[in-house]
Amino acid sequence: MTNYKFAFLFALSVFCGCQLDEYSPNQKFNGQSPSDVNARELSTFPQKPAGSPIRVAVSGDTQRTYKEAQLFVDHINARDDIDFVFLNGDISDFGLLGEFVGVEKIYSQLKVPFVSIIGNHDQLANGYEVYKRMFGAVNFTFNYAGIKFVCFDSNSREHNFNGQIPDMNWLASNLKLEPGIKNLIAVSHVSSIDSDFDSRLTLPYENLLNGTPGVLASIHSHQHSAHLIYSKNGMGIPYIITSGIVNRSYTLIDINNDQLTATEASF
Amino acid sequence: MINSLRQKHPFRISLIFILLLSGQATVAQRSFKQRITPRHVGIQYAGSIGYMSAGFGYDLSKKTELSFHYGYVPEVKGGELHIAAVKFEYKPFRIKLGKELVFHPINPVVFASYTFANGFSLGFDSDQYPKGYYFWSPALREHLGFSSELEIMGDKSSGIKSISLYTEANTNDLYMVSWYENRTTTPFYKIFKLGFGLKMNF
Repeated sequence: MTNYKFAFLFALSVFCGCQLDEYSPNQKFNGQSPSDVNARELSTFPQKPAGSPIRVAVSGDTQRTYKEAQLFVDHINARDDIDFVFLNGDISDFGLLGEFVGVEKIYSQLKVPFVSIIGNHDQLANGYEVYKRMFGAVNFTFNYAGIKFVCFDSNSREHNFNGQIPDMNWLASNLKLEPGIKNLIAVSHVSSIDSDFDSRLTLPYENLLNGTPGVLASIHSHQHSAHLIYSKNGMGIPYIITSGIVNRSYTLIDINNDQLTATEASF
Repeated sequence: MINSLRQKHPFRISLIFILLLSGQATVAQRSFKQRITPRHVGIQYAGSIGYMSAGFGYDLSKKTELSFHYGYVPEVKGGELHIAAVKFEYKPFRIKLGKELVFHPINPVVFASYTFANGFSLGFDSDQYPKGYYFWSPALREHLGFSSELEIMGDKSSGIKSISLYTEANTNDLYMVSWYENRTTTPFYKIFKLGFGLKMNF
């Protein structure tokens, strides 16, 4: 029976210590998957006085492109002028835990903090639950250098255009200036000019942005096409739609003296 | 549903039928009861078809097995998920290690798993998505793997021919798609996940 004992010990040694034993590709978490990553990252933001110039790197759509995600992280780490990074949705492609874990592992190598937003692909299979446990709430805000960033789920198609996504009530009560805050920026994966956005909410969303003092821009990803800045009738709040990690592209957002400029960059 | 399965996966369905028929042929002389009595029953930990799963199987030939499994992932382990799986295993090698032990060092295995849970279906709702918006099935996975099995021969009087301990490594269609696109940076072995099981063979 010695052989049998050896085989059993061998089997035990293989799976102890590494997350090789998978219950399902669709499990919501495992013993090693991180949780509350957005809270962890936001806790590392440095204090910056309101009105200081800031530079943010925004890109999304890392789905399946681990190689490019790593190149992006290396590229950002080689720069020393970025305050933080937005990972603007479609972190995963199939909504699988392993994909979120893989991308988070790469992004956690960034020397600057990163903030993650939910994309449409992140809501497939058990992705919605994986995202919420790993990153946190789908609608959230944070303040940095006197700017309030309002991040939200705008993936209306994944909710079958039920009129609730984006949550206009939540937006109306959060997209607001407050003491110490001079500017507002909305950030979500799908833009309101996209066919995956609930068309019944396009106008209410635009009206909210244009009617709220201090809004600088609405920043999005999703399209995988060249970086685009769109402004309705050439005026009003600009919609900045970034290209994607998949295209080895990102957008630099500079905010200085209440002015926002967006520039496409590649890596 | 069968029709749509056939349209989508004609090869897979016909393969299963051929396997079933070949199984029928080898047992044609036996009684109905003998035919439907499983030759194997077992439990498995992990292996992508549940935190724990239970299954039963049949010998299609001396070296091939077909088995059916039900697995469960409780909420505290990342579920709740219910999973059904059908496995086909080929055991090309049989190495005798003394009187009591038989080792099957490497056995190719293919299986399909179907996840029953909120938000899982065979395809994506055509009312919600334009055609071809997403190309895969969230609930149905096709897995490829290999197992290594140690068979402990029983006392013939007990009715149990042998007890098997096995380790199985598997990957699935979506992991392979992702690996292929990152093949220069991700080692192939990284997409394999393990399971461990115990089987009684009659």
